[in-house]
Amino acid sequence: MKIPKYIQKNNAYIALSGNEVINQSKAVYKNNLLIFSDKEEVFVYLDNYSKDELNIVIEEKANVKLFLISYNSRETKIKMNVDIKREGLLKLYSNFISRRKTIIHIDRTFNLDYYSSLILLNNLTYNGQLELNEDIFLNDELSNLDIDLLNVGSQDDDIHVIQHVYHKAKKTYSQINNWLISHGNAKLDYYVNGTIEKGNELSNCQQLNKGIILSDNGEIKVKPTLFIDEYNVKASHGAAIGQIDENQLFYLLSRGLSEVEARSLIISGYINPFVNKIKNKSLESQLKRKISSLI
Amino acid sequence: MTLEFKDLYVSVEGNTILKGINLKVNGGETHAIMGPNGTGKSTLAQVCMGHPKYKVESGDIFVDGESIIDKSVDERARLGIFLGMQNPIEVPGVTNFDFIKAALQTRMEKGEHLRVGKFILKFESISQELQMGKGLAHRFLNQGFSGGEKKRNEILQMKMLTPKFAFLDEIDSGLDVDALKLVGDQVTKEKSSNLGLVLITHYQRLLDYIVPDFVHIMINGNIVKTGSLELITKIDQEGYDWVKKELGIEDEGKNPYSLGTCATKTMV
Repeated sequence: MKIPKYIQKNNAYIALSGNEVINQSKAVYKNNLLIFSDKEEVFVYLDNYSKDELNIVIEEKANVKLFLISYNSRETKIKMNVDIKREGLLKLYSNFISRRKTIIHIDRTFNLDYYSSLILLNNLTYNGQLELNEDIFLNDELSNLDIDLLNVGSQDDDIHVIQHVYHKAKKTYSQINNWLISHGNAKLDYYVNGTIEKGNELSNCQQLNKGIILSDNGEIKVKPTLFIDEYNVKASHGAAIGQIDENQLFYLLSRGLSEVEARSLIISGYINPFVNKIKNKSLESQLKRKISSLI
Repeated sequence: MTLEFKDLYVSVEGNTILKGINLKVNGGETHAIMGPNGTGKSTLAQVCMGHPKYKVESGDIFVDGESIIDKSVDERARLGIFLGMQNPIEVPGVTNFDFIKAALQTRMEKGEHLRVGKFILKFESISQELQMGKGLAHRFLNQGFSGGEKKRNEILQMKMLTPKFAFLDEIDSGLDVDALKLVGDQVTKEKSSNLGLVLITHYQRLLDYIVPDFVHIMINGNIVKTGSLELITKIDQEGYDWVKKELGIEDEGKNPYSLGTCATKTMV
């Protein structure tokens, strides 16, 4: 397995391929199970990883930041199950990269215990066809979720995403922010669901979806849906999809920026809030370079 | 250094807004354009900047004798035209610093590089002069700014970009008394033979701080009267009715038309 240098240079990393495991971290690895029980920042590298379900456990009060980088050069199916125990915190940045135009299917399930937190940063600048199905279960009181997702589609990319947050306890919180860009013939198809079952009062379920279509043939579809069976909750959802704001464009042009520069600045403004949350210089500049090469 | 409008007719969505504007602004001059609402003052500024919404039906705009009608918005800006907007636009995610830096870089010759240290010092000095507060450079462009902050940010951009001709469109709206004085003083400080200023305003108060050389009254899409400071006082005291009366201008009657009613059914 050839591990990219920018991953190897980090103090802690775990690399997994079909039959090889390299663990340079404090995490315990055993039979597709990774257990984190401390405060740790770890790169997890998946090289064409497509076998059994990968299980991750964040132990009680553990504080873990994972940079999950997946490279695939052939059709790949990734199944992941993540359990965050009582008062645990997981910040998970995910980037799925194709070495050549190919298909990836990702199924991820997250289970959150009492007062645990999940912060997801999903970078979907995938070249090819991507199917992402994420189920997040807020199983106990005060468990909370923040998702920021950036999807930049170009050429003939075909992206299907289903996100479903289940509020299974009182006083649970979720916020989803999806930032979508379609260029060329890229098709982005999103189902964003939030469920609050009866009795789970004082829960808060928020969804925000924004999309910019940069070409005539680009397509973004978002279906934000809330299934609410309890009165005493806060919930909102919405999707705003359009082209670059003509007023913003005129404003920047009126200061002398060319149309290409102005569009690029507006796009960078659109993606910057996501990029700034990564908190890793190497990954941030990698993402900026990738996006500028795509659009 | 001149900016000249010659017999300019402009329409938007089939309605003629400007009806034969003639105006010449030389470097070093300050012109004030006043007039009732909806007479085309802002349109004049937007057309000069090249806003795509407006269609020039006839006439021309010249900068130093060269027509700019066929030039794009950014080309006009790089030629030295600046528009301080009535409603500055918010651009989320783009910092003031990156925006103004990009605007300066785009004006540079090939091989020329922006000296970032010098740029930062100038930016900080101007934002201090305009009492914009710390952290302005890293705030997103106009996002979350108060009305007054937005207007001051327009002046900051003008001072950074050093245009040859600047339109300030109702730069006084949204400013409290102190901020108005501050902005007025800062704009006055910029006055030089290298800047032709056009102020669009409804009120005398701005012109107490930025004293114009010429005052124009615009009614029904045309400049109907030009004078000096005495015009401002008269407008402030008596409004515009006396001008209309003096020049025999009638309000453009718009014939009412029916929008129909929900209960109406057209039988074919």
